[in-house]
Amino acid sequence: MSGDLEEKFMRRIERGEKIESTDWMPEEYRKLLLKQIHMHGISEVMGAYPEKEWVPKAPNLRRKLALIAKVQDEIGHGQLLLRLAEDLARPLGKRREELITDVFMNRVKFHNVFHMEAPTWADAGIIGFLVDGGAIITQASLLETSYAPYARVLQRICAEESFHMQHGESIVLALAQGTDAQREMLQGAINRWWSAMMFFFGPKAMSGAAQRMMEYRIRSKTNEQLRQKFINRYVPRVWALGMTLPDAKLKQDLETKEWSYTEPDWEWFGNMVRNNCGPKSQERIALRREAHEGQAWVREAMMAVAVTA
Amino acid sequence: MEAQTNPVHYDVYEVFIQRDSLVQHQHVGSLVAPSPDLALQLARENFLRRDVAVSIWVVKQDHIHATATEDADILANQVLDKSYRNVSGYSDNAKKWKGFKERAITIDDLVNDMKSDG
Amino acid sequence: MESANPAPAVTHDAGGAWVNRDSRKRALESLLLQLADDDLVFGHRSSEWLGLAPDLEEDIAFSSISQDEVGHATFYYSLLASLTGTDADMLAFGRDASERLNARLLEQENRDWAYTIARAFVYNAFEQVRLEALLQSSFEPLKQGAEKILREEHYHLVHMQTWFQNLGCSTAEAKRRLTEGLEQVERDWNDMFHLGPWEATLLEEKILPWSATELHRRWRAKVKPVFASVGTPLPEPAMVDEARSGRCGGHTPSLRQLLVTMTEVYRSDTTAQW
Repeated sequence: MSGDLEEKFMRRIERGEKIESTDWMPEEYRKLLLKQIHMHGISEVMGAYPEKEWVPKAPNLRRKLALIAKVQDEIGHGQLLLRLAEDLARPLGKRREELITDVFMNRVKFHNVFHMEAPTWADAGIIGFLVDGGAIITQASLLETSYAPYARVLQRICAEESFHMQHGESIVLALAQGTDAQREMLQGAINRWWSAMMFFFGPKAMSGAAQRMMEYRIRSKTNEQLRQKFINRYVPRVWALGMTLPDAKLKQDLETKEWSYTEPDWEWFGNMVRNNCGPKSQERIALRREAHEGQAWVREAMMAVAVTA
Repeated sequence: MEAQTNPVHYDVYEVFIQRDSLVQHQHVGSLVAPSPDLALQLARENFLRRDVAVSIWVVKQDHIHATATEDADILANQVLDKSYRNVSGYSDNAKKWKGFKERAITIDDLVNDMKSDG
Repeated sequence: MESANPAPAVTHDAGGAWVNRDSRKRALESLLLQLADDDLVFGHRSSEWLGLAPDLEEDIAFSSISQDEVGHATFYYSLLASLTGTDADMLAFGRDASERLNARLLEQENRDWAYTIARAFVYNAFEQVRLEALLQSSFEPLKQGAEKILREEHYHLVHMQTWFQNLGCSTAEAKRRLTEGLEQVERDWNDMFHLGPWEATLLEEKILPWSATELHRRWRAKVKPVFASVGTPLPEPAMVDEARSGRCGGHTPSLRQLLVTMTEVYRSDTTAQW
């Protein structure tokens, strides 16, 4: 009886056991995981687009090399995560093709930050500093996930992210210690990205799906817990650089240690993510679409060779 | 806006890396590729960007046979005491040798003997 | 392909004087700039494929190749910088199109994947031959660098050749695109095989053991069987005059556009630390 299997499964979860791709799992667990990992993987891939805009313009050889390597890692993370999603989706008849086309069919969302503009070199630095910082905090919180393949991939991702952190900070530090024009550029980027980072972690009130994920121990921290951790780490650092944050409410309660902040425009960001209508959403989705559909001929050709070999 | 009528699906290959000749290959993940040749070439940059290695293996995912992780008992062979086949089962040798005014030899002693001349 | 009277191909760069007019040094500088500019421009074009390759796994492999190329450029610029008392970034970012010595083939825009593979295979095979020549260079630092770079380049050639042969032996569409890509490559490849106006000195000083003609011959031997395997003829390159040779600073609008983009942030403040 499925009910028995579900009970047994929940007891495994409660005992802290880890689930593998070939284990029996409730449909709900599979679907929640798939949605989570698919979105995570696609966010990594789509995250490459704002950053890759700065590769051709990187101002010296070392930065050029580092930025290519960083973007490569992001796509690499996307690959690792999509492979997990593919193994989960196989019984549902979905494979790499469908997981990619879902992006331009509006069937999978990706993080708001990758819908935004990156108009200056300082934005490349801030993406590596704040956006990656937020992503790492989320990833670190998922290391205890009940789904073992996800936990294993997250270990690898976290190891590579440590270079990303250093790279992002290096750019930001160089700008903060630089000319007036560089400091201004940095402040501009911070002003542009801050509220997107407040949205990044999701609303305080978690959705039903998010609650279920906590029960299944797919995730263990609430959105607000993650946002607080982010603010706690990054706000003092930004202030230490002599930069300001575009939020007069930012303050830590000395007793509770909780930070108060201005809520982002949930409506505006939510709409952007649901409908892919951010300033750069369609342009970047078009890039992914061209890479995929526009080059279907390549994949067809490669399969044709394999068959005749 | 329609999906392709005949979508192309590459095979899934599990990737194993051997870091140096004195250790066995280790599973590091998987990728999709149109042929074993390309799977090997792609595995190098997908999994070995930052590591040194001497060998890569790729195996089609369908060719992997595995135990079922949910069946914990299928691998339950460390339940009862089996110290009779481990070093830990012979901890009283050392004390007995002491009685003969000698100490026990360990495998490390014999291995290290090979490292000196003569 | 030899030149009798070398015209000065390399002009001053801002802030770093070409102090020593010794012809060995001039020849070496010219060669280092060819090597560096080739790899920087090619690496830059290759990096434009980030996020746009036909599949994710290939995206990752291809971007390693583009990193390697920019890394090799960095090596050559750094070596030249140490000889001339300037700096690698200034050489990479501070020179305009007429001072660049890269092959014109490499500055062209990427077009489709078939063109990219055709160009990459042709260029990687040429790099192979040129690096093999450098293994015998009388200039020790370049010889040692070539040994290391050749090892990294091996993967590039294997990978590009695999793609070249796969595309050329599969669907009608892939074959057509590869043929068209090659036609375009062949229109632009002529100056790649040149060594510029200092060729005679490079040979006399044994900085290179082989002439441009010999490099070309060896490159032909390498690529001919691969071209044959996809049923494509291998045409002879055409003669090129200096005005249309990248080795003499003669470039296309594509390079000017590339440099405008590449140096945009650098030029916003050339003394700033980034």
